[in-house]
Amino acid sequence: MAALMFRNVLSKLSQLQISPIKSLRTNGINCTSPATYVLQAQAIEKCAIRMLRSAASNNFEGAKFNASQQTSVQPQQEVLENQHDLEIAITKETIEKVNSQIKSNSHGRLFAVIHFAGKQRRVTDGDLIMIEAAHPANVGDVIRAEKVLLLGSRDFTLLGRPLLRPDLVRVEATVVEKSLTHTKTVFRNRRRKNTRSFNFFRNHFSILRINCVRLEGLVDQRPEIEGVHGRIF
Amino acid sequence: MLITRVVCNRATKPDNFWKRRRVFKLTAHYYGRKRNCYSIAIKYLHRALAYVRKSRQLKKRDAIELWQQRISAGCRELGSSYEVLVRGMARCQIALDKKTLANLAIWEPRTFSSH
Repeated sequence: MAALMFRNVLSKLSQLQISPIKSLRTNGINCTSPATYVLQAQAIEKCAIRMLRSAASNNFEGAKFNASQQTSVQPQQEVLENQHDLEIAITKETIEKVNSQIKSNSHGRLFAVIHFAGKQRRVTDGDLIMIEAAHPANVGDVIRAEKVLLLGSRDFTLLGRPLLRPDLVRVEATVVEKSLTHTKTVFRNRRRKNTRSFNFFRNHFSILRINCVRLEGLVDQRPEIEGVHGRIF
Repeated sequence: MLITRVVCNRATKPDNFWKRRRVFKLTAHYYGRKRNCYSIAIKYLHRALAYVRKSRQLKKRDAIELWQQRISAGCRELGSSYEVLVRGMARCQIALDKKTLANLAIWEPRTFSSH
């Protein structure tokens, strides 16, 4: 079920079109720091319950339960404290650390994962990427990559769910070359039946040079109306 | 002007040299008679061209398998497994595909461990 969900999200991503009027889904931002702080999206109580359930019985789909096993084992019970406030404090601390790095511009080289022409690529400043697709931009045009899935630096990563806000991240690329690939042959042969066919094809490709991958705002500052930044009405 | 009788003959047989030359150019790196003798070379050439077509799909399949193995290895280094990672990502609606995950596992270990 989880695998299906995963594939659904991926397929929706390639059909995703960002429209200015509808607001984007609330993008929760997962920040990490090199220390042991890892933010969980769900409350810790849910995680605790899940852990207990899995400890009590490894429940796979085809498993058959022995009646005697079920009644003889006592369910383990642990009392866990509510660590919600602690979690919030940790969250705020990490966001402050990230924001301070952004303000002082001390994060260094940033890399981003872009969804472009049906494929995801990991990209930094000065990269050359090849895209096998035809698109209306001309050589020398500057393109802005809108579907940014992840932004990382040495000390933190920002993960989009599934995309990052456009007013937070900016990835720009220039079209360097637009041409056709080398000739590829498609040869079909049915042996001993005297049927064969030769087909040649070349498809469009373009090479983009990534100009910049940069952060353009602080992590927790969200605009009042989302999905409107940079749009022309 | 002397006008001769029209010769109603079919065109002569085309020269085989050029047809075979097209084949030998492609089989120049084969071993033995496969590169020099036409009737042997043509069989292996057809096979090779069919493999070219088939391998375009196989390459993608192999790459996916490789990425999956690499992600799984990276996960196990950190104590979890590939299935756990994928399930967690689906729940959090993180849509990174296998290629980028494998890339991150190799070149950005800190990002990968934060997943």
